[in-house]
Amino acid sequence: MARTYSIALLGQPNSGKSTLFNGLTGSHQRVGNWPGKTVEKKLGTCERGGVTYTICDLPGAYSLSAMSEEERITQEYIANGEADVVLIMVDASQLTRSMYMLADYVGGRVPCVLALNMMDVAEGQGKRIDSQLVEQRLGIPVVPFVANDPSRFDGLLAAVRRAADEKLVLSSDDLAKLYEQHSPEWKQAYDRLALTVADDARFDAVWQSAHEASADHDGAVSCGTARLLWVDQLLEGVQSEAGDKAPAFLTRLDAALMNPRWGQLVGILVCLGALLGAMIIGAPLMMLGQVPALLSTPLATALTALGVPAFIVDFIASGLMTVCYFTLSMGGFVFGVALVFGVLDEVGLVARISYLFDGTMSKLGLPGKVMMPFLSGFGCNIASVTGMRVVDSWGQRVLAIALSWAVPCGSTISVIPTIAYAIFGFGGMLATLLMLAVGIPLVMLLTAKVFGNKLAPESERAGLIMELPPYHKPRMKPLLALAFRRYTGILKRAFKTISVVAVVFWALSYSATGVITDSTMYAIGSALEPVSRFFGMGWKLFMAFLAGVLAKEAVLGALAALYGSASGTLFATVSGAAAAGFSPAVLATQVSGPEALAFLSALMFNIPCVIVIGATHSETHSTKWTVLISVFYFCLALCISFCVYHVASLVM
Amino acid sequence: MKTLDNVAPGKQVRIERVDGDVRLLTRLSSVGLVPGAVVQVERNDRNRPVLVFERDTRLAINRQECAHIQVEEVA
Repeated sequence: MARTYSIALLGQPNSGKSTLFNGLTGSHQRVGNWPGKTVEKKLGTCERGGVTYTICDLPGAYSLSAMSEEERITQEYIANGEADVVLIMVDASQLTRSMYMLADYVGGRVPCVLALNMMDVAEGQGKRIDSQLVEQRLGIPVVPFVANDPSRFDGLLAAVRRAADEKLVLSSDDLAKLYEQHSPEWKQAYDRLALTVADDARFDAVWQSAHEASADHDGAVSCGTARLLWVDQLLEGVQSEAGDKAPAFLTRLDAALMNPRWGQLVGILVCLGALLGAMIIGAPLMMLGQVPALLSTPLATALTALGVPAFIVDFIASGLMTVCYFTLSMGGFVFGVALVFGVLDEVGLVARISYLFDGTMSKLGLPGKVMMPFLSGFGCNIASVTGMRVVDSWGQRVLAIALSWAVPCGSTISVIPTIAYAIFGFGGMLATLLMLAVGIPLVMLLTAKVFGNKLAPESERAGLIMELPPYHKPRMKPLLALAFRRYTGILKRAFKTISVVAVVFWALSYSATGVITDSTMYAIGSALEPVSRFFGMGWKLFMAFLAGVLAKEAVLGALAALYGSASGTLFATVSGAAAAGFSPAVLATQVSGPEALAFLSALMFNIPCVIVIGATHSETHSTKWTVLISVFYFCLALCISFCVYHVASLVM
Repeated sequence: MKTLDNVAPGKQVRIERVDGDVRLLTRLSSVGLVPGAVVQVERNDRNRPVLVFERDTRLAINRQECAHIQVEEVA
């Protein structure tokens, strides 16, 4: 039987190990959480040349010290011997710094391969790295590598097989000497541990002593110093520099971004430019959404002609086609955002944005780079939810996703002013702006207060020290593949989620006579009237508010059906609201001012839509957190409605 | 002695002492910021992280953390 090799990927967050993981395993990934932990577990398999490899992308850690949950998991995974080979990725363009990870692994007895990633960037900087010299000194395979270039994978995997078959293990002798010279704390621990550590332990006595010694101030500093000296020894004469700098355009952009006065403005402009780019790239795919929209009427005619019962025709033509329309249009935007963010991340701009907004975002417990996904939320919350993949730690990512729900999406921002203007005229527009300006920060702060401590405890927050990587040239093919995989993933999930919800809504609103008062929804709605009144909304507005969870565009359709002509249905949202001749101005005569205000403010901060719930579930792989966040926003919206209604009633 | 957040841009400094909890110290070591290391201060603007260059890497270090790093100017 052919052998299976199990590889553990180890590297600092920006080393490119996720790129390699995605490149090798493609869609054969199982992403979940480590049992009982708020840390993501990424496992994947790949088959090349008849050999199967299982790969575990260990959570991004800066070292193997057990300072964070990520680091403890990484350490335990290796110690439990689940991997045949530990593949350590370092950034060749920042070699002297990123080799620390290797130094920290010295003493590990699992065979090891060192990949010098981003060799192309290093060469672009005019650096020459003698990888063979490093290999001679280390005694393990050392592979010059470019993670986003698939033609290099086979060479790397050959090195992995060689390390596993020949049991090529790092020697800890040199580092032990340095520890002995520089760290009395290590010496003390070693004298005690040298004889007690089992010969077959995955980490030897040198390593274990260093980690015990690093538990206090002096030991942490002295062991760190020894490791850095080991790196310097190892790299002596390995690297030569010609001193080539980044392209002039990027140097100038960098100067603009780092400008103390204009930096943040330039940063926001870059983000907005990126969003515009995402929309342009996503436009052709978004346009696909027009196909089902255009098809719905001819399809209805054709099906009726074929003698299909009217309620099925209604379901397919207005229900199903609307679902397809939403899914395809949103998917297109997500694709654009995924691609543009991927490019910006690889180029190195995401790190700079992070630097600019770190101060602001750290108040919410988040790194500065969430600024970009947040802004994309104004387009579509699915894009902001999936965009949060730029956040390294799982807990912070879930928190960032929860906060991103507070950003009203493009449809919300178009639906709310439409209604507000119809009811309140120009004042309605002002009220909307006020809600946006005051509401978003308030809701974000509140959400951060509620979830922050659990998801991103103060003591575990990273981002105090961040590297600004050199600018890289992106490789489009792998980025396109990744964006496309995310696109199809979101289409599948969105279609599944929204179909189920749509069927329920459709069934509730279906009325044999075409009059809304004959539908199940009417029966439920009027029964709920006392409850919804308590929160400030009459049953009709409450139903429209609920329809907003299906999709924000559905609100207009629902209002049309509930207040307007008898022919409007809940799903006639694509072309329906206008076609039915419904004007939200009708509302002005039927709804009181406070009630309308309550409705609008609740609508703005409610659950964005069911697809966002689905996307949140697939990004967090946590049913618990998806439910918690959804319930939180739903209750929040009701509370907002309650407060606004009662305050407005006093004033108006 | 000076701390890193008080160094003018363009100066080169040697780290003399680092303080703080073990978590911070470990993180600082992992990027090469230990006593004896020489770093180049690139930018130091008010209310912004301090930008330094060392070990082939440009690093942004929050001001609060910089106050834990005691340095001596070398050039």
